[in-house]
Amino acid sequence: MIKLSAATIISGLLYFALGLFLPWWSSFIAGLLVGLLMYQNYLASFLTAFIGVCLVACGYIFAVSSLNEHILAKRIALLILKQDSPELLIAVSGLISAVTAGTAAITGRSFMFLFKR
Amino acid sequence: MKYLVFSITLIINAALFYVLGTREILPLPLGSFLNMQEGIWQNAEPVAEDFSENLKLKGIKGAVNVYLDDRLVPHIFAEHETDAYFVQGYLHAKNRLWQMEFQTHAAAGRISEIVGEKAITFDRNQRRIGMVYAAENALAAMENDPETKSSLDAYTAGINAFINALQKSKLPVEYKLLGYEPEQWSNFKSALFTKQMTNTLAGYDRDFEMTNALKLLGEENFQILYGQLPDSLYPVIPNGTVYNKPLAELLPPETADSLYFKRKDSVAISEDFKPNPENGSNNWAVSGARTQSGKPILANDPHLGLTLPSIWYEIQIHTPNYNAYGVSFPGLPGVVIGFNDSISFGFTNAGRDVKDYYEIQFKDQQKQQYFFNNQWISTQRRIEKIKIKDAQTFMDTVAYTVFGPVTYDQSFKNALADNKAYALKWVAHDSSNILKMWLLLNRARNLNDYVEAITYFNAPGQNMIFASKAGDIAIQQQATFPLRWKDQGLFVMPGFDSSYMWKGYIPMEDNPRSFNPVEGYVSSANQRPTDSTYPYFIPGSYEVYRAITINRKLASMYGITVDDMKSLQNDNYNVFAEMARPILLNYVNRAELDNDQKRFVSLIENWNLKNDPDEMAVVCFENWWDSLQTTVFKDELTDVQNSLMLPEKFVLLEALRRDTAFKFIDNIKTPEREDLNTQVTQALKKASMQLRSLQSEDKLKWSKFKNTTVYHLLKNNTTPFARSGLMNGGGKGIVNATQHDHGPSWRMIVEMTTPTLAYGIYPGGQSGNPGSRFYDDFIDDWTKGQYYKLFIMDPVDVKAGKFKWKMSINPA
Repeated sequence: MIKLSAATIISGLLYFALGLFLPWWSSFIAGLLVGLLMYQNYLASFLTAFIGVCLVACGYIFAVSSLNEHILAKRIALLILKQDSPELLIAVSGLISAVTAGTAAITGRSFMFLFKR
Repeated sequence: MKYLVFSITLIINAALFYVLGTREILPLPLGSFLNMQEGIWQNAEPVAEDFSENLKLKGIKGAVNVYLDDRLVPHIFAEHETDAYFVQGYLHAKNRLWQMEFQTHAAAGRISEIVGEKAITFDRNQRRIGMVYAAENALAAMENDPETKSSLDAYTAGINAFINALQKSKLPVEYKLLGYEPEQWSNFKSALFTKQMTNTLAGYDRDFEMTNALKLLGEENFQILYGQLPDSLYPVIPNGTVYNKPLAELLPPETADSLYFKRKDSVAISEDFKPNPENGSNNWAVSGARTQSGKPILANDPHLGLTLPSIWYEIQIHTPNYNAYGVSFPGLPGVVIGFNDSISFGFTNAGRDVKDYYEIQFKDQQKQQYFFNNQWISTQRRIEKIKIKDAQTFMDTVAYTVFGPVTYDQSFKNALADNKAYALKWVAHDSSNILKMWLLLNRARNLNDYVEAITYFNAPGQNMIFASKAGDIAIQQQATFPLRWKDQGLFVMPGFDSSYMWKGYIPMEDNPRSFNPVEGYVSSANQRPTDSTYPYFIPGSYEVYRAITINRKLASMYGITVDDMKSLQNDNYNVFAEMARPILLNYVNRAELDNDQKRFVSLIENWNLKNDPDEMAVVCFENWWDSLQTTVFKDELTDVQNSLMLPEKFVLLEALRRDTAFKFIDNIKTPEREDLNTQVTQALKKASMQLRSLQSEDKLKWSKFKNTTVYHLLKNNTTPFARSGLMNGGGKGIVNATQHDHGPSWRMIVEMTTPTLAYGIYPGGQSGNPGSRFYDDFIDDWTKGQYYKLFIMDPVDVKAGKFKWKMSINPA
């Protein structure tokens, strides 16, 4: 459990830190690194990266959008999702980073398994 | 198994990376677009944002302080004028960068670079009407004047100081949507902006439609339908004014009758991208003799396409030399409509025709020579390179003649036979430094300064209104206007004979003007500037009815207050309907009407003639009258191959007021002879189908039918960035000229007391960021006809801390 929590926290922190100087695909790198460095099964790798990144991304975006009283989120949600739902846009934004981090984590883990006898 | 898992997840990752990182699969690269540190979330400005900051910028000479009030209006306090322009550029870029660049890209015919091939016809059109050529000429004139150059240089440097420090993550939302990045600003872009404005206000033209109408109707009928002097004209300069006689009378060339007035063929050109002929404005100034305070009051409301971000950006510029307040154009330094501590100034569009087409005969398809004055003359060929997003650059060869660029030829956009082409002669191409006028007006102190300042302005023709604390009021229609023989330029002219060229320009001292008239007020509303005694031929696209309402009201007003002026700017009275309603009501055959139709008539009968938001009679009246116009004219004005234009609205009204047996009433396509009763009744029956449908959709109320909308500049591509369904009254021909997406883009009233009292509002907000609370925060108040008291900050206010945020800017 501690390991799962640690992997989740590390995923989130890595994603945030890498995003400060890398473009949007920092979520892949964060997931990949967690997969490479944290010894877990595939499911755990995916979930820890997914949850860690999702929490950070959704939390950060929700905070930013709340401070903005969702002015922009409402407009963008209508523009690209055709829905008057800032919450949906926040979820989609977070999920994109989370899914990419999760799949990258499995790739990282499976890469390590290639060398395991 | 482990190889399989690795391979599959690697493929999934690669696929996700591709799908989320490009625009090939999805319309947007959602990976970056929705990323928390790179995407649009970085544009979600906190509603409690602190705009105070300390900046050190290269390029300014001394310290500049910018005090922002609670509406985010900047009050720039600078020791050097150029520093003020530098900071104005910085603020324009900070708040409106995408808009500024997009508008100048549009001016230069560069939209294909951003949106791809779908804009290629637009871009070619811009190049072919010579927008870039015109901007080059303007830039040369502006940079030739040391003061203008230094102001522009500073303004440009300020914009670039912002661009150079801008992080990619903070790019305006529209760049992220469209997938490109800003380039460096230049003085040339400001020149392009002036030409965009000139095209908007002096680019409307109907030479081709009029040529075809003349051919179809013959001279006599043409004059009836397209004459330019309405009976109800209330000119800018009052009827009866005595004008100077010109030095010599201008006569048409000897060949004009056969080659011009009775040309044998129509013109198969239809112009796209015509500017909206409704681009206009109201302005008036009343003298102290008519006001409660004893000081003049000036009012101005320019009517333009209503857009977000707004065309205007409110600003105060305070330097040791002057203290100007008003609205500016993001793209140009200075205050464009406003006032200073001594004077106030504003503009309405003159609507004069300053754009003519000449028919050119090329020697061959190479477009290297054209026939002129009995010989083949070489063209200058300009290769326009139009870059296209995701496609090869398009090369367009535009031939330049003695008149100007050849807009239409075999390659664009109609296939013209026999190497025929149409060259454009347009005042906008002339070299001029119009920016100088604003730089001088901003610091003008009296009537003489105003008179001197406006001489620098050559296009687009404007009715320039003025009021001063010294008590003067004035209006002058100012620009360089072509000197023409009667009817010259109404139709396409022969391009092989120099005798059809413009005969120069009307002397500036003969431009219509009125300084301190005995009436105690001056005004304009895009109407013809003078009565028929003005000794020059001045065709144009003129409005008739707003001027009538304004003059009627002003003539009867004394003890005027600012509130009276607010009421007048928001006046919804429909003077056209006042004149037209009796015709409809007197000639409709009521016995033939069903219950719905009777109800529509009854609504109009009981209408107070105001285009108020909840009024249903307006919709009934408008639809009925439009239907009558079509019923009366469509039979005569049908030409399946060539473009035509219905006569102006006043033509039918005035014809019927003069003679109810107007010769065009009969439908020539039927064996019977229709009279006015028949046509008025028929028109209502046709209109009632539409009215019934509107009634069932609950859209019979004027504001619901009109659906006033302030569109984002990307129009239907970004409807969530627009504000629609606004409950505005007003309309075409109404002083409150609010139409569906067009209308009062800035309402300003200035009372020249000490201290100056000024009020204003525009339908937008100071920020261009759709993620800011300052993006559209003025719109609701604008819809209600409310105003903000303009805070003219002085050093005492600064000391008292009467500001919300402070930007301290120092040299780096």
